Amino acid sequence: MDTRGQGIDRRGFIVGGVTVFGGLYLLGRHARADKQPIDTAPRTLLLVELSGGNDGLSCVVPYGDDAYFRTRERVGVKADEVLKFDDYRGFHPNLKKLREVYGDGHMAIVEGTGYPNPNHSHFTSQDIWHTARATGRASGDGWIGRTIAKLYENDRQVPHAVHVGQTLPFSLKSGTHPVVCFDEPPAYRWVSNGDSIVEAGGNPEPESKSRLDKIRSVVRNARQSSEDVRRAAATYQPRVEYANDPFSQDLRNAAALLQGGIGCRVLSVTQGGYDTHEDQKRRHDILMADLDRGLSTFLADMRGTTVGDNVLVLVFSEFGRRVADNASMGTDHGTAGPMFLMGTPVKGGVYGKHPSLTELYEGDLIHTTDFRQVYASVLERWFSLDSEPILGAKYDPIQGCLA
Amino acid sequence: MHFTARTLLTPLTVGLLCVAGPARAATGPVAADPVALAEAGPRWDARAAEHLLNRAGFGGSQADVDKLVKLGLAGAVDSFFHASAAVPMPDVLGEATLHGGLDTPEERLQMVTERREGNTGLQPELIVSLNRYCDWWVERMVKSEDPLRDRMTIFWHGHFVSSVKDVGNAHDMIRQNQFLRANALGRFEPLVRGIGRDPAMLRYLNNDTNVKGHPNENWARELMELFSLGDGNYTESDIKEAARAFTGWSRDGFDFEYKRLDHDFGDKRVLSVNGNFDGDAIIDIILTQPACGHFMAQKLLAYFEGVQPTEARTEDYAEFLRKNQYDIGKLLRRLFQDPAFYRDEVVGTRVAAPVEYLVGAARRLHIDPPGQMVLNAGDVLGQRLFWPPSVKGWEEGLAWITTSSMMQRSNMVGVLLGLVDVRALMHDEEFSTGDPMAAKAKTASRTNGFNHLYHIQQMGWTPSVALAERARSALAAGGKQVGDEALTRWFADELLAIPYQPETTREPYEWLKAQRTQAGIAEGELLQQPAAAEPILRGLAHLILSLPEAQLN
Repeated sequence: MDTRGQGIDRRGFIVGGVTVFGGLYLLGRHARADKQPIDTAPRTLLLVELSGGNDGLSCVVPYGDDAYFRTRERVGVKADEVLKFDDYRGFHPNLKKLREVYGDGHMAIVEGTGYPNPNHSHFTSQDIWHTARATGRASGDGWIGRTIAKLYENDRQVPHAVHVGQTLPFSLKSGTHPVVCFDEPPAYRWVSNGDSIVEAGGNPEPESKSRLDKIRSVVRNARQSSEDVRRAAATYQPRVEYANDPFSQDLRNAAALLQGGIGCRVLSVTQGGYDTHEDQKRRHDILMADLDRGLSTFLADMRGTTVGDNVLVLVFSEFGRRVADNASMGTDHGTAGPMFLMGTPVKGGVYGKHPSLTELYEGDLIHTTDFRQVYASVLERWFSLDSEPILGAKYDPIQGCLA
Repeated sequence: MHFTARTLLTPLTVGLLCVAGPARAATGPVAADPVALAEAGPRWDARAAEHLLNRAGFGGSQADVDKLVKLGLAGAVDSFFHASAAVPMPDVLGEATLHGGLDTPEERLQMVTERREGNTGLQPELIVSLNRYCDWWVERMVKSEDPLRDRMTIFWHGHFVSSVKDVGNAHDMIRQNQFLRANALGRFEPLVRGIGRDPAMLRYLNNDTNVKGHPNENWARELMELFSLGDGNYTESDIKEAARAFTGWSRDGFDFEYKRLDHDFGDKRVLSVNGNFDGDAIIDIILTQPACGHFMAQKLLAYFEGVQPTEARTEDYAEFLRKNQYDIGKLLRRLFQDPAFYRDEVVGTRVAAPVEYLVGAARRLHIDPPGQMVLNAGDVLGQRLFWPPSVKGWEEGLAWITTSSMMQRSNMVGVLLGLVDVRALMHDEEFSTGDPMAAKAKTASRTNGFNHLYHIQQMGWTPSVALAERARSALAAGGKQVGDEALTRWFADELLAIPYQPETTREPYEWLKAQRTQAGIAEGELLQQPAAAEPILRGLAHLILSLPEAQLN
């Protein structure tokens, strides 16, 4: 544990005649203690959530099965548009650059991921993915929160998990470890009175369950991370230019924090809008284009740098969509879908088995791989952690996807 | 909360003595003897009255609390149900093509371009009318003539969710808001039936394109999962069958239309009942489910108490709903007179949602901000009215509090007070070497919250607030000297919604003292120099409203 700043009796400032403005400034700086030398970058994870339920069947298209074109005659990807990469599968036509990433061997596609007794509620299903437990939030922290707690059992001060976006996903939730959340780096500060606010807010009682103490802790974390986040984002010089859409800008800021060496081990971003009950083709096409542009830029920006070659990207969504379309030229909530692992550490290829398009359960795909097997791969192969306590059960890692 | 501050030690004394451990002074009320109105009723005092004002309204200053205390519990509760539902709304629907001036030419061009690319169905002219409507709504909230209805309208907006982002026009959103407002304190049944026919909802959950043969499940699912029963109280088959029953509930232009030719007249089985159901029959079946009363009681108790109710408490209120035709107003009357509503676990522990926080701050400061300032500050804090983040609405409680939102809550109150220039949030002067306007353009791509606030400031808006004058008339009548400590305490009492520990005011006190000294004014003389005092007292108010304590109500 980094004790600098924490043990200071703030009354001492007054006694010693030191202004609180000067004294508290120290608190904000000690996150830098975790700064990694540039040649030994730590292994990090970028978590990308496609929120709303990504239509896996339009993302990685099973064009080799005629059933696809029969059931998706109206909202599906046309046969001549598919970016084929083997004799069964092809990418959505707007995933051109990610098709290249796949071709370069830096993308693993894990097919048919899901879980038993799939829930069709966005929110219940997201909770299951975020906590890795069937019981959802009732089980406690998010799976990333638990991961950070294992990685840093004795360091509960420096924020190692960061969400770039306005709403913190439950996966990062931790009852013990700090989490940072921001969307506009220049705004990530108190314009005035920051030090006084932190000082007046008071020290939270350790392990306190009171809301006031929890808010006090967040204030401390905010003060600690403000300068690091702003500096990293403002001074970052990407090697590739990011587009101006929100998803790309979030990835750009995630890259800035990773390269800024400020102790982040898990970065999280969300791309929303996947709940395509209606007008799916047009909407999903746009989402795929944004996803392709954002992720391919991020990967190109990372690749070949010490930090970047130690970034693993994990892409997931709370469920896929119903195989048959609906009258609104859309698709309703479904079940299994693909997960993606990307980046230099990945051994590319297709893992798992594509679900049958004809043997369905109540119109839905039957999952072939438990998503927690992918989590187990990340925990064991990437973070060298025992996955069982984090996931609550033993799941077999996917063999071979991480070198 | 003036009754806690009597134990305030001189901050300097505490600092010098370095007493072991924080002073955990007793926080019992010192208000006049509690007025016991009913044998079983809660203890009615300033603390209870402020609690009611915080939860049933948007809080207020000590004078507002005193008024409620005098009314007694029954009278105070009653006062939240008096105002008429029929409040004339601004004539914004008829001005749909009128251009209101807040969006810049660049933004209009961007919107047009985006529409061409198919990214959004938003129509700029109608957004302007939504802004005007919001001005009206926020003004009502700040004035708090009918605050419970305003709060319940927000509650229903976050329950029967629609978003202008997907609905694509303000006309439907305004009508929906008027519908929710009119029915906010009535029975649940007309709300559900009405929202099922509501043009914005028909659009938002796509039931307007739900036709026989290939039903669209979106509305049927959220009706059961989020609007009435809760996950686990229906099956996937119930949803598919209910979706069939709602086929044909559609729109004709801006109005509901039942399209008979699109309706599936076949037999359905929903929630273990068989029949040739239409949408209304499904709602009938839902309302007979025990889960419905349970779900709504649980949600309302959690919302107003800020803690998850026990199963016994939920079931007690669920049974009350079932016995009272799901009358939401009756439930609230009962809740506000329930001693358990005033228990320690509940009072002063609820995280204020952004709109409550901003409106509450405006009320306590006596500021009358433009509605669009509150709308866009709410956006920055994660609660943009008319634009909920998902069909589940806004997540309440500690989910509102992140490292970022704690900073922005302070910054946005600084904007209300005229102390924070929004440009400071759009460009990092300390670390960035880039072009400020380029940074502004990037900001515009994500959320327009900062941009709109910037335009409001550019138009020359400043708050009409006179804190020095207000403090002088309250504290320094006849030229009485008021020390820094008393001044700090008075502002904390006025601005905080919850009881606070004495040490909470220590840093604000030090801050005030330092500022006053820097201005060359002797202690006790500050209120005698209003021009010099005003910026200092605004800074003090800003600091107090930025405290962790200020996030709770």
